[in-house]
Amino acid sequence: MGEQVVIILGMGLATYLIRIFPFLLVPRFHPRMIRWFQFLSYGIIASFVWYGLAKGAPAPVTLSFRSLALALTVLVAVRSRNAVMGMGAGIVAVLVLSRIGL
Amino acid sequence: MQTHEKFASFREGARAAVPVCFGFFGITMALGIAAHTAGLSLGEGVLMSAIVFAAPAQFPALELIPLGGQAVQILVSTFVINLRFAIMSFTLAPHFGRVRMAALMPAAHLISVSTFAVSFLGFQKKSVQDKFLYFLGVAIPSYTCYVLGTAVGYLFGVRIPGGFEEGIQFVFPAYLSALLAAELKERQLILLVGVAFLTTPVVERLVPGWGLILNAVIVATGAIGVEIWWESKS
Repeated sequence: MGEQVVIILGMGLATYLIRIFPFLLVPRFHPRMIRWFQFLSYGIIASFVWYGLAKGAPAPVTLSFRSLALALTVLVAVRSRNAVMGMGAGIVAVLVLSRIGL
Repeated sequence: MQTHEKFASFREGARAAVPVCFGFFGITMALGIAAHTAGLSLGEGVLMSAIVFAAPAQFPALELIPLGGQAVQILVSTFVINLRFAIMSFTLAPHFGRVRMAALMPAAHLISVSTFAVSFLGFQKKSVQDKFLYFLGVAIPSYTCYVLGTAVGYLFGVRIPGGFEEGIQFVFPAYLSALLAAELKERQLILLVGVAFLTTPVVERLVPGWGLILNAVIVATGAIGVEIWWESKS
């Protein structure tokens, strides 16, 4: 087996152990702990929205049109109560804004 | 629960996975190209995506592999980068309380930022009867797209056409923010999401690479503290 395959298998094992470990603990959480995890999940998701917005933005202007598109995404999703519609509006907006170089 | 009700949860999850697949194709085709450039065979490139399933750890590894003799550094960085999955597994675990370990063991491998986030937001819907099957509905198509995207990128060197890269990069933040906007009703959670979003760049600047998770931990702990204080007051 080549070194590269050994490295890949090692990467897979390391990642899998991290993923499965919490399930092995068979957690029986206090309701307050479950509530904390709920807060944590929303916090992580909000953080990743920011990360996705800022990732690979070469200039402040890119970030500004992504922010505008994100605002439109949220607005359409809230008004329509439809996430896919909101996402579609945001993607169209980001494509248009990046074309016109806002 | 009837079989058709369970299958409905899986189908609902699979529908929610469609935007994730689009986002994954954009990322993994680049991953396939990077694997090709790093000198990996098609099998090795696909194997990496199939058993690691974590692009943020794979890209740095593909930079280091051609240098040779970097195995320890790659493994340590993979472990550190992917530690965030432990928090996601901890968060999902209470939702899968009655699922047998034999089913959880392969399913745990399918936890990624996208499958976690979309599943967790889906769990808040009343229509989702079986959370585990909903998770599988999200995760299995997403994982398939991830692995297939790597192969397509490797074989055909496909890049997203110029002008559309912005749109593809925006799929993931747009989908998550739209899900949050469409589903969130509890004021406390709306406030928490807003605060977490605004404070992330600050914490990320202070602790680069760890800011995202650390910020979420700080905000969640603050929120639970406020909730306890509020309850004791009233």
